[in-house]
Amino acid sequence: MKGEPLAAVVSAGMTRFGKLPGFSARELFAMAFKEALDRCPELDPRRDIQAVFVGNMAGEGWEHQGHWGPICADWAGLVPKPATRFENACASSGAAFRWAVLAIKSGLVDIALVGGVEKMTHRTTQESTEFLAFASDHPFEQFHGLTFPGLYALMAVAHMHRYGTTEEQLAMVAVKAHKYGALNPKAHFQKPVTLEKALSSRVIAWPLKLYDCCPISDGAACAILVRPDLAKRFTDTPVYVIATGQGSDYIGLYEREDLTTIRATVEAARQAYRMAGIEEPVKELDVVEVHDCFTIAEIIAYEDLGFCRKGEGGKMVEEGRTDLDGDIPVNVSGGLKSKGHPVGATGAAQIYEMFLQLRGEAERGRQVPDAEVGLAHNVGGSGASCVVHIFRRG
Amino acid sequence: MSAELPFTIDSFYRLLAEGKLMGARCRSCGRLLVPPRPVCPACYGSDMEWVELRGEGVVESYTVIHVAPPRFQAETPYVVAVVRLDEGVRLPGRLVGVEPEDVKVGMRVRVELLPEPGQEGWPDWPTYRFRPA
Repeated sequence: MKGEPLAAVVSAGMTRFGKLPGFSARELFAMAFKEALDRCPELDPRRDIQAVFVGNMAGEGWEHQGHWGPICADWAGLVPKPATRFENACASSGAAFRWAVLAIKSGLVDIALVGGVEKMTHRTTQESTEFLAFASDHPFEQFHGLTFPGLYALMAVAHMHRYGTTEEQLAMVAVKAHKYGALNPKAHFQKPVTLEKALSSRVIAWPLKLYDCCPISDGAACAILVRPDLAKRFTDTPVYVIATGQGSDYIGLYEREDLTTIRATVEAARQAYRMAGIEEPVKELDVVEVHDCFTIAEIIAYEDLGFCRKGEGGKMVEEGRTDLDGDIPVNVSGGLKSKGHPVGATGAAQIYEMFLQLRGEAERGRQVPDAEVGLAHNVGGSGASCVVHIFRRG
Repeated sequence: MSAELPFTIDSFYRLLAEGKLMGARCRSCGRLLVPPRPVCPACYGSDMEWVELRGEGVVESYTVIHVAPPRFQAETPYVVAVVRLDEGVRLPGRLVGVEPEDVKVGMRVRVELLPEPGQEGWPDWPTYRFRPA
């Protein structure tokens, strides 16, 4: 039946995002897990958790470290449980979450720990720029000096040229993100920014300026995912996963039919809406986390997720329709822009936000009143992968 | 020489040293593949032929990179464009010979081949870039 629970989130944890000097990724993962344990006293981790699913993008670059599945199981005190790392660039933990949902749905796993982590800030911006670019096409993009912001800049210029989207509209996405990030005690940046400041910040990859780009952050997030019929054993207020969707697109932006659309999002959303029985997303979704790695990405996400017609994403943010009191609140966590983007942790952090919002536990000023249904949208790289999940409060 | 080369990205770059910008055409379905591929993603055919590209097209989008990986940082700011070649396929690449603020979507450009390896170490490929036509 449409909208039936596939799995249930019964607890979640997240470190603060930001510069966390001295902590390596495995330690951050353990700290996020600790919060999830503290929230869920009924869970006996060594007795109950049967498998670990971890998202990490490029620990090989940032920390000279791979093999993240067992490392996270180790630091979470869960050896010898099966533990696997998922890599889908910035959608790594969204993908890990999807495959944990499928493992539970298969009947092979009843209770899973799903999380994601990235440690980035100890390296120079140039080094991080190189590691992030791993997610793009090497022979025709990295080889010619294209960067991750550069790829989104190419989408932005195409969008501006075709639809008249403006640099001001891009900056409005950042202003909105910072407005809510200022109220999120776990956000990397916790202060508002003015439109003037965003517009006058230094250029990273024209037309994208510093405030059009999410920061380089450290952090980890996780969730405890269980078979739906076991949920009430752990909490009175579980958050049910009612749909999962995933799509792909050409790795090279230059190979895509339309530079202004992320087809992986369109496909992931199509699958998820169908599974959840959602026909009018703006009316049926109460709270949404989209993957705003760059301001243009949020505008394109509105269009690809069906919140507005193609080309009208800029107008949507300008009219405040995605504000807390708008038609469909988007990124009231602060989004990647203000909350931060430790890439491998981002998908799991979106799910952490869903867990708070749908239980009414987010901070005042950014809690969507009486939120029942939410969507999380996690994109990999310049859009060659995307994972969408839809949640309903228990 | 090109007749013996496999239909790969490596061959695409090696052929630049011979002054040739080449794509592959799938003989089964006629699709032009840039970069060349050994298996056609449209029809799964593997009977390919080399096709020389004219190397002219228009800028479909572009960006000016100010923050780059270490190996490119000294060259900033530089322009990277996505060019729609007249044959219909796109190719990204550096755009030189024009001030960043004068670049326009729709601008006509032509390819320039640089036969020397573009960098030290792997991959030691020759490269190409674009200039206003």
